[in-house]
Amino acid sequence: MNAQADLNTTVPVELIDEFLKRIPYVSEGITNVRLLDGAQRVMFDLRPGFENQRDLVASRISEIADKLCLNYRPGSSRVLVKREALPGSYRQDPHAELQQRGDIIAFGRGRYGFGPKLVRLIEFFEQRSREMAASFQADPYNFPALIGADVLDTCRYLKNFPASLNLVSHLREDHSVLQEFSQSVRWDGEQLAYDRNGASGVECLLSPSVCFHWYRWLRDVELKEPRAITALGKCFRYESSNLTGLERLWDFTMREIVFVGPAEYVLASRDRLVDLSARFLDELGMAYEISTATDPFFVDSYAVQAAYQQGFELKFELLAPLPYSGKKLAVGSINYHQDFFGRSFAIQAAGAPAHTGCLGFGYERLALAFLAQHGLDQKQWPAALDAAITASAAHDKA
Amino acid sequence: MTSSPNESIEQRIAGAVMRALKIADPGSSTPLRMGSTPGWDSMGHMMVVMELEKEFNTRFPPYLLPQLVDVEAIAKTLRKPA
Repeated sequence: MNAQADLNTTVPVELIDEFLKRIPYVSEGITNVRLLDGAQRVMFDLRPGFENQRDLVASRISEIADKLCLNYRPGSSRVLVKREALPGSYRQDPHAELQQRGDIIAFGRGRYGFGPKLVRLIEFFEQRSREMAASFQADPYNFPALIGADVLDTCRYLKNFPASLNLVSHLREDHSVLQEFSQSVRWDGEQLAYDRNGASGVECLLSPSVCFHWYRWLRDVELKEPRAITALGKCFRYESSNLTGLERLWDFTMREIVFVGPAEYVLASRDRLVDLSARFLDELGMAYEISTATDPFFVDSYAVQAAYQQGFELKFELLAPLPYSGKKLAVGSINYHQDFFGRSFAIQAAGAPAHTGCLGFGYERLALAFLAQHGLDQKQWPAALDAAITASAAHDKA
Repeated sequence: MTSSPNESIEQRIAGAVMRALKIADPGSSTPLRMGSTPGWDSMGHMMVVMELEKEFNTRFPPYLLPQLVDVEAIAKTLRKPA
């Protein structure tokens, strides 16, 4: 069923992507969203069974536009480093070829398996990232994929990013529940069909980030000196119908380098991270830019939180152009949180709440951007990378 | 609550900050300042900014937000020609 929402406000050009990304969360029935008439009208389709929600969905879409634009203040992002030249003439979307060659397999929305070609490419990224971490004397840590709901609550993540949460549940410790589940559970073609009354409450979530664990680790600690650590982890962010190929995965692999200490230490580390990240992307022979950015905060507080983040330049994104679409993909980010986590977790440094910052590389996205720019022929890749990957392959087969 | 027309710009700013942070007047010996005034942290800052915008019927661009850290700095920013 075709429907439309007339907006009370014109969505500014720079907010259009942000606006469109939020519409899938309006209703489970919404599909095929288009923005028309100078960003003042949204056309959409409703799946069968949702037809009677037409007016409700239209009013919610309009409400989202109002909330995004309320308190919005225009301000352009600042580019810190930029390298525009693409490495070659490859312009294809590599997904189909990767799938055809057996280098990736799509298991479902936002869920991919990787074969040796991509695994070895990511191992190269990992090697360089660890070297970067070592230059900060960052100790290696390992954290679980699960994170306590209490930790995310303290981080205000539950309130700021509700749409992306992945709640973890299990069956209640009750023999009759287990018996009933065992007898009736089935896959209905889209989801697991079972009696949800048998499910437990939510104690944990799948972790959306790596560094939160470290702030919780340091709770009530008074640091004698600044600390840098590094950790690799799986991160989970639900993105509804925005989950598209390797550009936006439901779960992805992130290498983080995390800094905790006085403001000067964290800011100096951030400056070095910008330089080192640029050097790393230069070595990969990629076109990229590092520029100020904002997080996709929940719509109710987006304008205000984004303005703060932008004004104080708290987030830098590492953006790589995808030649096949003309879009830029964030392959990493460098974040400065001021003393937010220091206050939230009572971490002290130099007699005051500690400041924190982190770098995160999203490896799957970095691999996609690399392949989209260089192509799949390894001989066309930078020589050092080709040599490292060839050696790694030979070692695996030795 | 709004300011009276006889108030100085500094008094109006202080009033807006206190309203935003829901605090009582700390007295002249304790200047209102981001980072030291209770509640004026990263979250409180935007409450302060929005209350100031309402009080002075203006809109601060993002790049000015880090400058609005105390009454003196805010007054200086507001007095600058747009």
